[in-house]
Amino acid sequence: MQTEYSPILIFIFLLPFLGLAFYPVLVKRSIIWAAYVSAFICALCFLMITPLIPQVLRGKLIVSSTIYFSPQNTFNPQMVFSLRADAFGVYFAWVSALVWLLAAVFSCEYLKQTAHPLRYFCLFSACLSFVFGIAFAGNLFTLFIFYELLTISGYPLIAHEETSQAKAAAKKYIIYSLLGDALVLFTVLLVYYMAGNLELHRRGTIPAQTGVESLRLLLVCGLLGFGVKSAIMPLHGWIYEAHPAAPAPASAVLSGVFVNVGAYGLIRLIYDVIGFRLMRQGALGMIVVFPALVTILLTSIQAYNQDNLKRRLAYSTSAQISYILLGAALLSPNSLQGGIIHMAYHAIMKATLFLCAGAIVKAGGSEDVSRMNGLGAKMPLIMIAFSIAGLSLVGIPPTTGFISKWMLATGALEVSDTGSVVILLLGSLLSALYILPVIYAAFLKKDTDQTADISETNYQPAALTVPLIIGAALSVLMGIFVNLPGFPFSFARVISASFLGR
Amino acid sequence: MEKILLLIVIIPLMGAIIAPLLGQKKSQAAFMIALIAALLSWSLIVFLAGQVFSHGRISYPLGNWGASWGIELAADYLTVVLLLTVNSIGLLITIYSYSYIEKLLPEAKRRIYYYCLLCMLLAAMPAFLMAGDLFTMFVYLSLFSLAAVALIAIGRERQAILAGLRYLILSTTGGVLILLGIALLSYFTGTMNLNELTKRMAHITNVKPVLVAISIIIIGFGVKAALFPLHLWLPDAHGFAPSPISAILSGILIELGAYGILRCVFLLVQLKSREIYPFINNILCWMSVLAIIYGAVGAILQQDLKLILAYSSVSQIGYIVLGIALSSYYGLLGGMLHIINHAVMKSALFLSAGALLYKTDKRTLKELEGVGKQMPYSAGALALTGIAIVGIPPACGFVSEWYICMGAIQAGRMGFAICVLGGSFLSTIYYLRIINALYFKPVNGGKDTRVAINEAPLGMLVPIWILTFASLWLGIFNRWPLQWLEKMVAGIL
Amino acid sequence: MVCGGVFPLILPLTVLVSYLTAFLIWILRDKPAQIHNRAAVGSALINLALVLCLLPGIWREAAFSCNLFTFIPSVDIAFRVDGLGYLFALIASFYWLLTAIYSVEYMRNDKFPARYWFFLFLCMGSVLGIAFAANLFTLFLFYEILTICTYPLIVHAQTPQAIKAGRKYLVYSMAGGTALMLSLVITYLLCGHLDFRPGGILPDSASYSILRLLFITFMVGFGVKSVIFPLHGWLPDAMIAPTPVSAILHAVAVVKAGVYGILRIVIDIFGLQLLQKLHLNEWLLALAGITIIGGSLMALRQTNLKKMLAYSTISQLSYIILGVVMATPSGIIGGILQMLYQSVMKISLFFCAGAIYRQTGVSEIADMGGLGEKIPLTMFAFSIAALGTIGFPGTAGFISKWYLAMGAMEAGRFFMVGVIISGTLLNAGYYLPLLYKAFFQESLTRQKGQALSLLMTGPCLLTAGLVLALGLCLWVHKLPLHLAQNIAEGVLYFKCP
Repeated sequence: MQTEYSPILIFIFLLPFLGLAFYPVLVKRSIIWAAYVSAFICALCFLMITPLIPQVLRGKLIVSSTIYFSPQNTFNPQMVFSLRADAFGVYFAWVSALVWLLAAVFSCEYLKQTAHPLRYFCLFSACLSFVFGIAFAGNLFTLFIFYELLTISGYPLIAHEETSQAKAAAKKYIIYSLLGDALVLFTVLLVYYMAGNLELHRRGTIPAQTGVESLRLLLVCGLLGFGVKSAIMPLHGWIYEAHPAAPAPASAVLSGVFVNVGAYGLIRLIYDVIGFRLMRQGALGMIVVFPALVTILLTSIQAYNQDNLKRRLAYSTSAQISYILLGAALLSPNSLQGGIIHMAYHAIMKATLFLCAGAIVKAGGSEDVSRMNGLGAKMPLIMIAFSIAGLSLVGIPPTTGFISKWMLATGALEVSDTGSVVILLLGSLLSALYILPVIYAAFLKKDTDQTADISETNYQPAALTVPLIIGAALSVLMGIFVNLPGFPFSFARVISASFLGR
Repeated sequence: MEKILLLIVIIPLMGAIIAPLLGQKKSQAAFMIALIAALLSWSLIVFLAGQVFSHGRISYPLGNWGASWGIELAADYLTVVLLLTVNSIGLLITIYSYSYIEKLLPEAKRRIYYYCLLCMLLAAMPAFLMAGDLFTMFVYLSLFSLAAVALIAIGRERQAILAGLRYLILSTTGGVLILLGIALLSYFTGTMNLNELTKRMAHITNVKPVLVAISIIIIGFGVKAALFPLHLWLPDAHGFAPSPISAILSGILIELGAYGILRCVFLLVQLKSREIYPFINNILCWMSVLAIIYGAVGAILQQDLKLILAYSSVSQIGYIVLGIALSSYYGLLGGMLHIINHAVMKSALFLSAGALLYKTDKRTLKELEGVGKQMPYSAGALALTGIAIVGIPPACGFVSEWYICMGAIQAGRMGFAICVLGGSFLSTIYYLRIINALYFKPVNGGKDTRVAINEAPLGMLVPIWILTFASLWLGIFNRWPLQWLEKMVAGIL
Repeated sequence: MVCGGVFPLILPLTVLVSYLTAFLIWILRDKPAQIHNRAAVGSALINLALVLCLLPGIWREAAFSCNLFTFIPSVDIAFRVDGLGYLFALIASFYWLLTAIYSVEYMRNDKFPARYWFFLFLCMGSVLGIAFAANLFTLFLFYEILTICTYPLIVHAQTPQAIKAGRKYLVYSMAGGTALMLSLVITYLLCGHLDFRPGGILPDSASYSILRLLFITFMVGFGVKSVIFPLHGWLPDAMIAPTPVSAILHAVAVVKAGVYGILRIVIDIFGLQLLQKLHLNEWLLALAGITIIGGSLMALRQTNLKKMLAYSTISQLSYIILGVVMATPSGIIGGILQMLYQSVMKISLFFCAGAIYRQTGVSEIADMGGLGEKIPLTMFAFSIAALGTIGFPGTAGFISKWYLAMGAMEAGRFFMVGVIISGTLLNAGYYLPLLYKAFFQESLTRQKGQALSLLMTGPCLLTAGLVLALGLCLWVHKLPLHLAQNIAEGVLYFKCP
C-alpha cells in the first residue's frame, strides 16, 4: 500500500476544537451565532476531507502522525497515538462530517433558545472530533481512546433537555455503553495477547496459526463490545430511550453516526485485525450474521408497534445497522460493498428522518404517529423530505436504500445464504409497514378532529428545511448516480478490494 | 581502689544517719544531705564504671574472709551498667522528691523521716547489686524492702498503710524463702559466693536438691519482682505510695528482684545439660507470659492513672523474666536490657504521673481529661515515654522487645514471641486511653479550649525530662549498654 | 552505581528539615497563625527543592546512600534512595507543598493550629524517612513513627466520633506494627541483616512454610496501612480528619507508605522469583483482586463523599500491588505509574471535597445536586479527577490502567484483566452518578456557594490540571515513566529498547 505522509489528518482532527474557543464568548451574546460557528466548522471539516478522497480512492494510505505515549527508547505497551487514513477511514469521516453538517445547520433554528447552550455546542463539536479520531485511528489504542471519549461525550447530549425522561435515558445509555466499552477494551487487550501489537491497516495482524476457539472468543467479545453502540439485539436497550429523549440534531448524529461507529469498529476488527482469510477459514462470519439477522427481524417488528415516531425510528436504526454488520460478516464482495454503502445511505436518510421528526415537534406537533393526520398539508416541505427519506429506508428504487439492499441480497446469494436473503426481504417489508403509515397519515388522512396540535401553519424556516431537503435529495441522488466518484459506491469498491485482498 | 565499692554503700548510709540529726531544725537540710549523698555515690559509681569498663571485674572482699564464705562486694559489667542506671534514677528521684514531699508531708518531721529512708534505699540498692554472695544480696534486699514499706505508708492514708502492710507481709515471706533457699544451697554446695557457685555448678553430682534450692530462691525473688502470680502486693503499693516512691518501687525495686532471678538463672545455665533445668525455665516462661498478658489487660481495665502504670509494671516485669528465662543469647540480652530500659521509662512515667497528681490532685483518667493543655511539659513527658512502653522505635522499649522476640524465636518458641508482641499491642490500648484523656477529650464539654498553663515546678520537670530523654537516648544509642551486656552474656553462655 | 559527595547527605537532611519544622512550629505555638503558615510552606518548599536536587542522579540510575549509625548488629539506621524510593519521596514532597498551601486556608479558624502543623510535619519527615530507608529496619522505624503521629491528626476535631475513629486506626495500625516487628525479627534471624537488595535477601533454602508464614505476617504488617481487604476497616472512619489530612495522609502518605512497604517486601526482601516459587504471587494477586472489587462495591454504597473517596482509595491502591506482582514489564511500570497517578487524582478529589465543604457545606452525596452551577471551578476540577480515577482516556489514570491491563495480558492472566476492567466499570458506577448529580440535578437549596480564596482553589485546579497534563502531554509524562521504567528494569533484569 502506498503511504503518503501529511499532517492534514491532525488538522481535521483538531478543527472541531477550534469552536471551543469561540463558544464561551458567543453563547453569551446569542446562541444562534454559536450555532452558525458550529455549522461552519462542520462545513470546514467536510471541505478539508474532500481533497483526501481522490488520494485514498487511488489506494493510498495517508499517515499523519505517530505519537508515542512514552519517551523514545522506553518500554511501551502499544501506547501509541497514531492517525492514518485509508479509504474506509476517509469514507467514514466524510459521511460523519456530512451528517454533522446537516445536524449543525438544523441546530441553528432548533436550538436557538436552549438552556445550557455552551455545554451542547462544545460537546457537539468535540464529538465530531472524536469520530474523526475513530475514523483515522491507526491502531486499536487510538480507536479505543476515542471510542471511550465519544461514549462519555454522548451522555450530556442525550441528557441535554434535563427532563426526567432524558436523564433516565442518558443513564441507561451510559450504563450500556460503559459495559460495552469495557468489552471493547477487553477485545483490544485480547488482540494484544494474540497478535502482540495493535496495528490496524494491515488486513489481518493475528498470526495465521491462531486457534479457531481464540478467534471465536475475540470476535464474540468484539461483537458484544461494539454491538452496544451499534445496538445489536440484546444490547439495543438504550437506543429506543435515548433517541426520543435527545434533541433532534443530537438524535440525528446518534442515529447517523454513533451507531455507525460500532459497526465501523467491528468491521475494522473483522478485516483489519482478524483478516478476511482467517474469517473465511474459521467460518467466523456466522457469529455476526446470526445476531444481525435476529436483530433485523425483531427490531423491525418492535418498530412497527411503536406509536412515538422517534422511538419507531430508533428501532428502525437498530435494524438498519444490522444490515451493515450482516454485509460485513457475509464475507462476500457484494455484501461487503452493500454494507459499506449502507453506512452512508443509512446515516443520511436516518439523520433526515430524525431531523424531520424534530422539525415537527419544533412546530408544535406531536411525536405520536397517531396524531400526525394531515400534517403534510401544514408543513409540506418537511413532510416531503420525510417521505423521500422514508421511502429510501424501505428500499424503493431509485432511492439509495434499494441499492444497498440489492447489493446485500446479491452478496448473500453469492455465498448461497438464502436465509439471509429471505430475512432481508422480510425486513424490507416490515420497514415498509412502519414507515408508510406515517406518510399515509401525513398526506392522505384528514385532520378531522384537530389532533395535530400545529397552530401556526407553514412553519418552515430555512435553517430547518435546508438540511432536510439536502438529506432527502442526497438519498435520491446517491441512488441514481450510484457510481459517481466520491459517492459511497466508489469508496465501497476500493474498500472491499482492499479488505478482501483483491 | 576497690574501696570505692564500699564507699558507694557507706556514703548514703551515713546520709541516712546524719539526715535526721542535722535535719532537726530544717527539713531542707535533710534534703540537702540526701542529695549530697546521692550525688556522691553517683559520682563514685561513674568513676567505678570507668574503671570496670577499662579493667574488667572489680571485687572487694569485706573483712578478708575466704572466698567461699566471705562477704564480698563485686562489680562486673552487668552490675556497673545497672548501677549507673539505678543510681542515676535514684539521684533524679531525690531531686524530684523535694517539691513533691513538701506538699505531701506538711510536717517537717515526717519529711526528715522520708529523706532518711530515701538514703537507706540509696544505700541498699547499690549494695544489693554489688553483692558478690547470696547472703549479702538477701540482707540488702531486706533492708531495701523495709525502707520501702515505711515509705509506702508514709503518707498515712488508710489505703497507703494497708498497701504497705500487704507489701510487708509478702516481701517478708519472699525474704524468708530466699533465706531458706540460700541455706539449702550453701548446705549442698558449700558456698554462698556467686562466683564460686558458678564454678561449682558444673561439677555437682546431686542436682535435684540444688535445683529445689535455686527454685525456692527464684520464688523469693519473684515476690520482690512481683512476677505473676506473686504480684499481689504491687498494684496497691505502686498506686498509693507517694509518686517518687512509686517510681522507686517500679523503676528500681522490682528490677532488683529481676536481677536476683537473673543471677539465679546464670547459675542454672551452668547446669544446662541436666534434664530438669528446662522444666524450671518453662514454668518461668509461662509465668512471665501470663504476667505480660495479665498486666496489660489489668492496665486496660484500670481507671486510676497510677494503677494503670502499676499493672503495666506487672506486664513489663514479665518481659524481663521471659527474656531471662528463655536463656538464649538474645533472650538474656533482651531481658537484661529491659531491666535498664524499664527502670528508666517506668520511673519517668511515675514521676510525670506524680507531677499531674501534684498539681491537680486528680487520679483517674476521667478527672484528668484535658490536663495535657494545662501541664504541657509533664503530660508531654508522659506521652513520649508511653511510646517507649508501647515499644515504638526508636524509643528504648522497642529495642529490648526486639531482642526478647529474637530470643524467643532463637529458642524455638514462636508462640512466646507472638505473646510478647501481643503484650505490646495491648499496651497500645492503655497508652491510648491515657493519651486520649490527656489531650483529645474535650475539656468542659468542648466549650473552653484555652486552659491556663499550670505547670509543675522546675525541680520536678527537670528529672522527668532527663528520664524521658534517657528513654529515647537508650533506644537510639542502644549500643552503649548492649556492648557490655553482650560481653556478659557471652561470658556466661 | 552509588554516588558520593554531598548528595547523600540530602537524604537525612530532608527528614531533619521536616522534623525541625515541626518543633519550630511547636516552639512558636503562641505566635499568630501567619508565622506557622510561613514556616510550613517554606519548609515544604525546601523539602521539595532538596528532593529535586537528587533528580539528575536518579535519572542516571544512580543511588545515594548514607549510613547514620548502627542500631542492631549489621542493621544500620541508614538511608538509600533508588528509583522507587525517589518516586515515593517526590510524590510525597510535592503534595506536601500543595497540602501546606491548602491547609493555610482550610485550617484558618482552627482551634489547635500548632498541634496540627506539628504532627503534620512529623508525619512528613517520617514519610520521607520511609521513602529513603535503606533497610527494612529503618523503614519500620519511620513507619511506626508515622503511625503514632497520624493519630493526633485523625482525632484533631476531638469529637467522640473522631476519638473512636482514631482508636480504630491506632488499634489496626499497632496490630499491623506488631506483626511487622515479628516478621522483621524472623527475617533478621534468617538473613542476619535487613538490607534491601533487588532480587530479595531471603534464602530459598529456608523452610517454605516459614517463608509463607513470614510473608503473611509481612502482609498483615503493611496491609493495614495499604488497606488490603480484611484490614481496611479503619480508613473510612478516619475520614473524620480535617480534609487536608485526609488528602495527604489517606490518599498519599500513609496508605502509600503501606503500599511502598509491600513493594519493598515483594521486590527487595522476597524477590519476585522466590515469591513465584512459593506461589505467593497467586495469593497476593487474589487478595489485590478482592480488594479492588470489594472496595469499589463498598464505595458504591456510601452516602458520604469522603467515605466514598476512602473506599475508592482502598480499591485503587491494590492496582499497584496487582501490577508489580504480575512481574511483567508493563505490569510493573503500570503499578509504579498507578502509585503516582492515583495519588494525583485522589489528592485532587480530596482537595475538591474539602473545597466543596467549605464553599457550600455539602458533605453528603445526596446534597450534591446543582453544585456544577454553584461552584463550577471546583466541580470542574473534581470531574477531571473523578474521570481520571475511572481511567478515562486523556487522563493520567488511563495510562496507568492501560499499562496494567497490558501487563496482565503479557502475563496471560485473563482473569486479572477482567478484574481491572470490572474495577474500572465499578469506578464509573460511583463517580459518574456523582457528576450527574452535580451537573444535571437541581440544587436543593438556592443558597449560593461562598467564594473561596485562591489558596484552596489553586491546589484543586493544579492537581486536576496535572491529571490532564500527565494524560496528555508527553513531556510531563516522561519523568514518571522514565523512573518507572528504571525500576522495572532493575526488578526484572531486562533492558528496555
